[in-house]
Amino acid sequence: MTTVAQTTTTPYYWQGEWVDEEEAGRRLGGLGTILPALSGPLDAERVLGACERFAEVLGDRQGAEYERLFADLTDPATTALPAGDAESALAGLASALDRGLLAAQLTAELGGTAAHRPVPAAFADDAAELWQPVGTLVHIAPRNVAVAGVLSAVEGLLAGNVNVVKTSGGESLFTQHALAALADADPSGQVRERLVVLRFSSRDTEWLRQLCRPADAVAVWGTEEAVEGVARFLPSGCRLVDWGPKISLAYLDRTGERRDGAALRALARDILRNGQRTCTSPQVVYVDTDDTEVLFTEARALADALSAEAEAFPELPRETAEQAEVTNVVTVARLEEHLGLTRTFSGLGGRWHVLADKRPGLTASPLFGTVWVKPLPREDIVRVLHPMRRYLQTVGLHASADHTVPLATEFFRAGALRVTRPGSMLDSYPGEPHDGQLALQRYSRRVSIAMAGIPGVAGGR
Amino acid sequence: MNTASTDDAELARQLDSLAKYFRPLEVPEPGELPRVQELCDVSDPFRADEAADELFVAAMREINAWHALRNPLYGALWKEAGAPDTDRVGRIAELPYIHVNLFKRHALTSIADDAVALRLTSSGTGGEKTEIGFDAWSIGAAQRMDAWTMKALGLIDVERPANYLVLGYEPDPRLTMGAAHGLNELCDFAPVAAVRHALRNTGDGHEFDPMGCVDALLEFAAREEPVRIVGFPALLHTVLERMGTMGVPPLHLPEGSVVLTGGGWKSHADRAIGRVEFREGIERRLGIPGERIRDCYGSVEHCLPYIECAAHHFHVPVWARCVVRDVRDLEPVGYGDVGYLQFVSPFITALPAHSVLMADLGTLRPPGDCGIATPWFEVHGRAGVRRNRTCAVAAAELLEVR
Repeated sequence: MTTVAQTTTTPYYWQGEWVDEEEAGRRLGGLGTILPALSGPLDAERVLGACERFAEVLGDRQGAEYERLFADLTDPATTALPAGDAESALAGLASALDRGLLAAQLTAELGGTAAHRPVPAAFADDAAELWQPVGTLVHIAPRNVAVAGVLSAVEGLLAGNVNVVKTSGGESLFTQHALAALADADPSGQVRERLVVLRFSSRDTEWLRQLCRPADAVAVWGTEEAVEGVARFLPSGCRLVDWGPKISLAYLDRTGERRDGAALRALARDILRNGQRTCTSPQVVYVDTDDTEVLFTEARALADALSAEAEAFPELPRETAEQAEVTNVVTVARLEEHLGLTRTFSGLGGRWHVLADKRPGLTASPLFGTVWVKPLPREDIVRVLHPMRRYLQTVGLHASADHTVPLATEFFRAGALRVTRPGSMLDSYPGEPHDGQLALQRYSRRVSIAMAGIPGVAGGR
Repeated sequence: MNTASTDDAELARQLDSLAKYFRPLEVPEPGELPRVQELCDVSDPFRADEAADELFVAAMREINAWHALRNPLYGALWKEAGAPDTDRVGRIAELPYIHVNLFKRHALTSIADDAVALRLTSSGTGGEKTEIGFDAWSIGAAQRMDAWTMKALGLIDVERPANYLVLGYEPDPRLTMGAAHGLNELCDFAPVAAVRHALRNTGDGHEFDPMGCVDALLEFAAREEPVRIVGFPALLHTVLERMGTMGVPPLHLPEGSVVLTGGGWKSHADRAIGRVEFREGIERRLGIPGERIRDCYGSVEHCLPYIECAAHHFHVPVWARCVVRDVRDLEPVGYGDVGYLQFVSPFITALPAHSVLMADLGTLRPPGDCGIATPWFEVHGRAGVRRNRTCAVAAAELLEVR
């Protein structure tokens, strides 16, 4: 195991070695030579085993590794997460590395945990198909979600790739240390050979260019600017896998039963969970009406539900800029009450805010328990939401059972990617597609062998 | 030459471009706004005494009544706040305020259409745009306050022509953007020897020309006239970076050169660097001393200009007061605490922006050792531009694609 002192001078992780900037810069030009030098394919079982053991390490909160990763996440000079956020990030990482969950994802997306074995092609007697890694996979990790770089690399490993992760210039070495620990959890060394983690600023365009040159696919997490910043360095034919920011909403259909308030209470919990900061958290609640009085009544009912649920959720610490954004939006919405456009309801001490607004256009919320309530008759769903299709993610749909599928279809036409019940918008199921894509397939190539009578190919013995 | 004590008429005689600033001005309704007239005729921006406070309060009562009567939204706000009668300067914070973003979304006015003398576009960082109509008084008073502040800070030079590098838009008759409008005025305070623009007019738009700026600076450095670099700081930052990359040796721009930046970093927020670091870069690369590098702060809605003194303080002039409000509960905070900047000033008749809450965060400071007797504020930047630490779309980001 490397020490913290070592990694301050040698912060670049290169296939198990810690090297300094000069050495990393020297090796960067040879990134493309890693893959051809490997002796054979990566067995997904190795990755599953490493994930399982690393998740155990993460479960030991007294352990040295946990302490180091916690220190990285809370380092005031860099990542600077509050302690509570760091704990939940590590717990979230541990549960995401669950072997059963990952095996389910492999099965759902690549047909099993041995995706590199040929299987008979569906419509041909003498052909077989199999999944192969795309090759060298570059991950541009986001600045805002600490564990995303690690999870992205794990998906890249599950698909069998060589993974090169770029983290932001201002981040701690969390991603480096976590992936080093994952590599250490694989005694075969196969995982280690396929991991490089480099921390540098995206302003360093020369490094970015060299990073992308040998890439077969680049996965970019983060803002549109991040995607654009990287896209110009992609060699032609290189696959861009874009995991951009998303927005989620809830829909209260006229057929949804809510006299007992249970649906709104469930929706309130979705709003409050995790400080509303995940891409599946509802930011706008649409009401199937064009009557302003109905809209404002519904907003008041949602405010009551939030009031009843808020105490059960911890209030997450906010940075000044984050709080200021909430106050900006709420202040303007309150002023717009005088123009007859809005009606606002706020919890004690600004714990939550419901901003009812007559204008249907999709508006992002400043989060931290702030939700818009807007009118959207079901006939207008596609027309109103389609312009924002690239951002739409989850719809928490409250409707009677026989209206659910037709309404879901409308939201899919408008660009949404998931439809769930209010109260479970933030949940996911094993193997669920992410943002409308199957990540492992995006990180793989589907190849075929079309030859009769070859052992291992359909028809052969 | 320091012109701080020269008579306004004499300055206007020596430099034509100053004439428009020092013309006599009259409020739209002299019977209703006599104290507003009186306050805005005070030519010393940094006067601080009891009489000035009293005059300020009296003028605020007049302008408050003006807007409460003429703007239904403000009238309702004022009544809702309990119709406060601000009879002393300590009660100024009781006045209701309008958030600057509301002006970017809705055309709020207190004057009739035919009183509009100039229309400026107010643009939000999120791309919203609203046209704001100013009457001759509001815009004239703001310009005169600008000139008086420049004069008091010793930034007017009527004798030596200057070479200007304008970090802004090359003029285009169709241009009505507020920020650009202000920029061209920054060429008024010293005679023009030559002007180069960073955002060149291509005929169907503008193109940033950093190489042209580097060439201009090299050329200006070889001449005798002082150089005036005015405009968006982000553009200057990029030009300095380019000089570094190109290996241009440090320049020594002539004595008397000055940098006047304004307009913030706008969409370059992610790249904003510290003010001190920025000034150090200018000193090092251009040889302009730190005290000659001044930032300006203002907005189209509240167009009273705040210009840094030599110690880099944004002083609140005699015509305005500044309140800082807590970012969560919006209660006023004292000296030294961070919060929203709220500006209160009676000069504006055109729209109810006499009490405006900015989206910027700042800190108010008591008068310091710089020799200027009024309080000053620091600006920390726009609230909320920082990216949220989440995978969800943040409001500030989504606005950009509308």
